Amino acid sequence: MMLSSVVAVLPLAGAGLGLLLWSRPRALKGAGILVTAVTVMASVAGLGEEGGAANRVATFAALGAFATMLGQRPDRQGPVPLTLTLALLGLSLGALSGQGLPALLCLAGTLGVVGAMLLKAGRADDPAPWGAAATMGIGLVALVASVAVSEPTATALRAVTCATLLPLFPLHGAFVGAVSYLPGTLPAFVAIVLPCLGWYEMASLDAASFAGFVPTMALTGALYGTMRAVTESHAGRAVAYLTMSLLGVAWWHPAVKDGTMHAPQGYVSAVAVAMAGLLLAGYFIRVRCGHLDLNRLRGLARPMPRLGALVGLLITAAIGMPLFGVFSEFMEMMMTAASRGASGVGLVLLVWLSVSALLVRFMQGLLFGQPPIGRLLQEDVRPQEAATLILILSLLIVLNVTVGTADPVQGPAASGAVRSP
Amino acid sequence: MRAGLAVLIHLVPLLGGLLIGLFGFRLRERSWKLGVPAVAIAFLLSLWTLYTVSNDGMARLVLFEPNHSLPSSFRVSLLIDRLSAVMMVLVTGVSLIVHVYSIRYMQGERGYARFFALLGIITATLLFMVSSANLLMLFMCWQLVSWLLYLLLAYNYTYRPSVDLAFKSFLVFRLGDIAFLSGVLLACATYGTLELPDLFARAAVSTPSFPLWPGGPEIGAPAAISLLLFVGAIAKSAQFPLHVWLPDTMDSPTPVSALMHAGIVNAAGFLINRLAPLYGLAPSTLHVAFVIGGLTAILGAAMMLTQSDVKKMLGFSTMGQMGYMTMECGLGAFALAIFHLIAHGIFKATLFLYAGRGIHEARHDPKSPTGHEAVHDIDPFPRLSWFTGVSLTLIVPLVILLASHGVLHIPLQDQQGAVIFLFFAWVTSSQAILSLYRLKAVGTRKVAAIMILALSLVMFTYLWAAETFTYYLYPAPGVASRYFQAAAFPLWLFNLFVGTVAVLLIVGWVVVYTNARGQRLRMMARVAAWSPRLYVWLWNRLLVDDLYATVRLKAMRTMRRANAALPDWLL
Repeated sequence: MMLSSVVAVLPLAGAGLGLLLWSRPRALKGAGILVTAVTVMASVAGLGEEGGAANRVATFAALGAFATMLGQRPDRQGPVPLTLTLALLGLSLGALSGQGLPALLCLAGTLGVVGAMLLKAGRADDPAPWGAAATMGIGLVALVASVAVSEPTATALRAVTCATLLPLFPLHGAFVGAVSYLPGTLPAFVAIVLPCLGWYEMASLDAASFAGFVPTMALTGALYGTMRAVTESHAGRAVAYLTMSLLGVAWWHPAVKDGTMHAPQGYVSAVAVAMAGLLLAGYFIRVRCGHLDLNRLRGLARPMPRLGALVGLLITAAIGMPLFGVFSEFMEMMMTAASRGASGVGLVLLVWLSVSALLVRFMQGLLFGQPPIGRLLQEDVRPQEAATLILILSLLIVLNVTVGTADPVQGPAASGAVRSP
Repeated sequence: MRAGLAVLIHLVPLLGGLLIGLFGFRLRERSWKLGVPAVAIAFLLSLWTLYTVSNDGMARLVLFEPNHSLPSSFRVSLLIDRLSAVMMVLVTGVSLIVHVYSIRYMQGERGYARFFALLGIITATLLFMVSSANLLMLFMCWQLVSWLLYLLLAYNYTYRPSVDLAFKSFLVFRLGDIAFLSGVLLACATYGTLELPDLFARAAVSTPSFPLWPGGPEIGAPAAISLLLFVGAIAKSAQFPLHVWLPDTMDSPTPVSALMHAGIVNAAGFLINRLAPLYGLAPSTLHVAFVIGGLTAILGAAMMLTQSDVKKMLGFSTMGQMGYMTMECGLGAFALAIFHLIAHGIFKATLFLYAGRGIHEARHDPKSPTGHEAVHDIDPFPRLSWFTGVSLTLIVPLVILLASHGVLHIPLQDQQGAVIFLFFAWVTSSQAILSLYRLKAVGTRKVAAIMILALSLVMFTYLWAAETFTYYLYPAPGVASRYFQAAAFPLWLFNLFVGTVAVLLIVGWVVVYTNARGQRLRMMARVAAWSPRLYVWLWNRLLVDDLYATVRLKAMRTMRRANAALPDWLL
């Protein structure tokens, strides 16, 4: 049984309800948590059935939405991210569960909503979100155009859309912008849902003809992301670039392994979840300390020990330490790549080294050092916020345990759900 | 039963560490009540395991069997043999000493519980590392140790220099981890397995080779794999040129230094022993290990002489000792390296913990340490000590050599192991005797007697204890000698080493003699002119740290410029 379309309708209905509860953020948050919890249960129930890949991605999306809902503060700025999370969850579940035109419309809707939010976020003195919106626009146009043209152009256009969702240089801007500029906890949700959707779409492509240049673009992107992150002082952007670097490896791996574009789902999910955790932690700090300038903020571990411990664990997971999903998925990927004599292994390891060093520098810049006097009385994370990060960490541990159970070729192509608009 | 006990050794400290980590905010200064008994139990169980392994042989335990969709390399299995049993006793023993010492030493510290939690977890990780039967699991623990060590080094996280130096250490460890992982991947790609016994069996029957670069010279798979793993090892064991982290980690609490210097830096010696069958197939790697180890031993000892801080001196001394240990591995004396690391571990832990106590005392009592009062009536040239020193370091070895060659007709060139043990015994005892000669405040007869005692002790250690230990760790006939043969240098090169050491010793004693008589050698005057420069170079650690810092700074600057050149709208 494929993922039920009803599951997709539920969050969309929740988003509609959000519009009604706009002025009551607390009630909106409660309703959102309820809706996403039901969606999680529905998608978990579908796990192990036919169309498992869609169910798995849906489960991750729903869990991501649940976690971000839980972490979002029901303040005056709350309704936007809360409602948009529900809307994006509904749209992405629609893209996963549907076939043909409805699925395509849902995917286009996801791209459109994120693109519109980016357009809104742009300012004359910071035009980067507009650049990101333009890249998202390219993905959207390519998706729509792919319906009108024949093969192999259609596949090429769909690959362009995938590259905007699961960031591939030079179309990574959409992802980086979405993760850096969207309000509240939305970046954390987007960091999970966009790559997972990208992976799902990519798995449906029979794009062996691109496998030749994809590794080059993937490795260039991975190095570019690392280079940008080195000098980045904006925490959100730094995490976005590092995510881009790590996800570049997901593009490289299938192309060098067997000349396909069937990226390892476990790895994409693990990286996305780990980075979403960091973005959530960033949000919790931002609501207390304002804009996260990595060059200024320091010493938070002393006034916020619970946050310090949780961020430390998240960094442990993100840099690929054992017991968390990123490690086992990365190892599995590298072993299959090395056993096939894949080229670029050295560069991937270099990227891994750089990313882990940068993440640790990021952590110690934020948490270690003498806290500024005014921050000594800073409030630590609340139980609900801590629960959000614990949920993310638990997910990463589950991903470590279930390593290898997600067959990378079990995308829509394998499950007989290839889109034929 | 035995398997269950072996698993308990790993799990008890892990459980202790995790419980302290979870409930540390409640336990606070009572955290040791969980940590210390956990490690004590692990230590007792390790002793029992050592006893049973020595009598009943090794045991192999599979803790996790991967499903069909995963490579078999993901198997989690333990190999409890003599090597792992010895290492488990060392790890738990040192950890127990450090735990007990820390109970009072860390009292009043904010991160008391965090410290004990990390200590418990790192002990468990080290235990898993020394008993892993799978190269991937070994790597998993290897890099986890890097991370946990970073967290321990950054224990005092509000103190910026301590955090920065912990980060520097992490970078070096990570570099080593990446090289280690490359070796793991290459092993997996070449032999299709990471289970150690299977890997060794396959490596023994097939030695494929591949070009270093397209069209370049060929390198054998065992050499390439072992070299990459060796780079991982030298990062953790502070070998030149990846030694830069070790001397800077003295801002960490003394128990951390003790654990690090007595346990973790010994990783290279353990790794080479664990992978001995692979290293035995790669003579070129062993030669590289010998050169790196030798260089590190010389530089570590030389840099130590320029230090004035007691903990830094101990740090450089560890570096030198680790170089010595790697050199032993490079000569195929694998078990000797383990013997060395055990002895060094116990010795260095004692020194560090004592240094910590001394520093503590000095902070509270301005008159401490005592015993530095000027000593009068010192004989400028203690004739008896000098003659005893020369006799023991030059004449006795010469007599042994001539007797074994000329009278007993022992073919020394065929006794690779014995020659190596003799060589190390000679160098070690000479070093000790030269140090003893500097004891001016003690009567010359006493010094001469201590010199003879030192020589006897060193000879006993190398010729009996180390020999026995070698056949304890490698009981199968011919295995230990095969490693010696694999590492064998051309005879002329070995003779050159022996000759150089002999010349250095002769020059040393001559200089001591002429200095005491107020004479100056013409050649020595020229050397003396160089000594201030050499001192400055060594004091500045040969500018290796500065070189790395410059490279890092330039790379950052280039990236910053490249980023600045990009338009604002481009993400």
